Amino acid sequence: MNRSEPRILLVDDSATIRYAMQNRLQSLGCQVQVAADGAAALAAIRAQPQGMVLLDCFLPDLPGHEVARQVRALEQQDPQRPYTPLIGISAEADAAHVRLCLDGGMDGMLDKPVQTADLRKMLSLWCDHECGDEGAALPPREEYARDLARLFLSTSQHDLAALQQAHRAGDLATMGKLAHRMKGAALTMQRNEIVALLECLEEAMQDDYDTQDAIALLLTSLEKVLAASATPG
Amino acid sequence: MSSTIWTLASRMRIALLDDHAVVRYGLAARLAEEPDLEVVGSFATSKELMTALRASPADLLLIDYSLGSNDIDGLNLIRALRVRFPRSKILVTSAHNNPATVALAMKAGARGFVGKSQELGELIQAIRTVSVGREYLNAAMARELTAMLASDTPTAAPDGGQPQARPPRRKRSSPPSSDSLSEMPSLSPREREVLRCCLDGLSVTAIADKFARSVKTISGQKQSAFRKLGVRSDNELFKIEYQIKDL
Repeated sequence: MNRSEPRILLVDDSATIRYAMQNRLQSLGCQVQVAADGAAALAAIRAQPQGMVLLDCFLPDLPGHEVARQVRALEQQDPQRPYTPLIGISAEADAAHVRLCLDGGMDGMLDKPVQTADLRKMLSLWCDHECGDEGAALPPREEYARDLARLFLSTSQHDLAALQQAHRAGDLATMGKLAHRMKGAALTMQRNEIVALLECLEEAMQDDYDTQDAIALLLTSLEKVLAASATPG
Repeated sequence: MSSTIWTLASRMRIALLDDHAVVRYGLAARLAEEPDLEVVGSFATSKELMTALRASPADLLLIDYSLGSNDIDGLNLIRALRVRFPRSKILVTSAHNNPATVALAMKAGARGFVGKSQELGELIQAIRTVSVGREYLNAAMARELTAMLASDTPTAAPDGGQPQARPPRRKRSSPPSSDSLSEMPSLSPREREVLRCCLDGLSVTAIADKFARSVKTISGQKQSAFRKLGVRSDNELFKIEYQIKDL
């Protein structure tokens, strides 16, 4: 029994978020395993029981509620299998979305970016794990903060390049996924100016009208903001 | 009551969860007057409640939906209690009794819902109803819920549904905390100024008057700001107001 160290599976397609959250969960005394998509998450859950799963609602291969549905089906087939608490993470959790997730078999929802206080509550609620107050109060180590910033920048630039390519190809579906992923990471990094640009982009992409100019402008703005963060000072 | 003797033999064990000491005290005192009900504990936090339930189970959990900010939010709590203590029936009390909140609480596993403004007599009726395995909602709430679920499209337009062909924009429950487009490089100071006035409800003519500029200039600045934001109308500007409120 590893009661003092709950086993947490963290599922998110953003490397930045995985890195940041893994670090935070470890500092709260958890054993953390990560997965980047729904298939990997299901494989990890099949392989061994998880104390709790933190599940991003928008994964590249499967929506979070579909992952939840498959986990519940798995549990029904095998009554010996312990119940897996599934907590959805979404930046856009309106009532309809929450209902969809609960219908799929999720147990609860957290807003993105996830606050450390909320993680503590979930760990207490589902894993009987009480974290000391020190853990989260500790400022992140300098090295960790630097690595995280670097990871955020490189993955964002990578995503933006793919976004521009998808824009040239007129592939709205891919653009939507990439914008959403970038937004999740920017929310976690509290880069609100980037979040705002990405939300404008998402809205512009939803329009039936011609918003090509707006999209091109927003992509250029994103490029500038990221370039500015690449040069120190 | 002919059933009194029978029910005394198996009193319903109730645990209370409410972060307000006065509410806990008042509820416990009132419930103690009922011979068939027994308050086995009253708790201020979900952690205390769960610790107690592990040691000694309760038949019914009477919990406040919106506990203090230090506690877990109601939905997550109801679900966790439902899964981890499946034998305890959950009755929710809340000051927020809008149908959407109630529907989510019931979906998460509550068996009944009682508004805080309702009479304690009704609460006791609700406790007895839930204890025999039925759901409890008062008639008005049940009607509202039915109406809500009947008219339920996946995203009911929160603004009363404008007749537009395009899908409604996603509603965000938590706007990005502090910042805004104030750092957005592509909006000029003049464009920000004009947007701020639009959000204050001023017309283009009024803004032109205010800044002693031509209507044409203001209109151009407004249009170019709209283009950069990807919005097409004042309505849409108001929809993203929270993002740009500290322009």
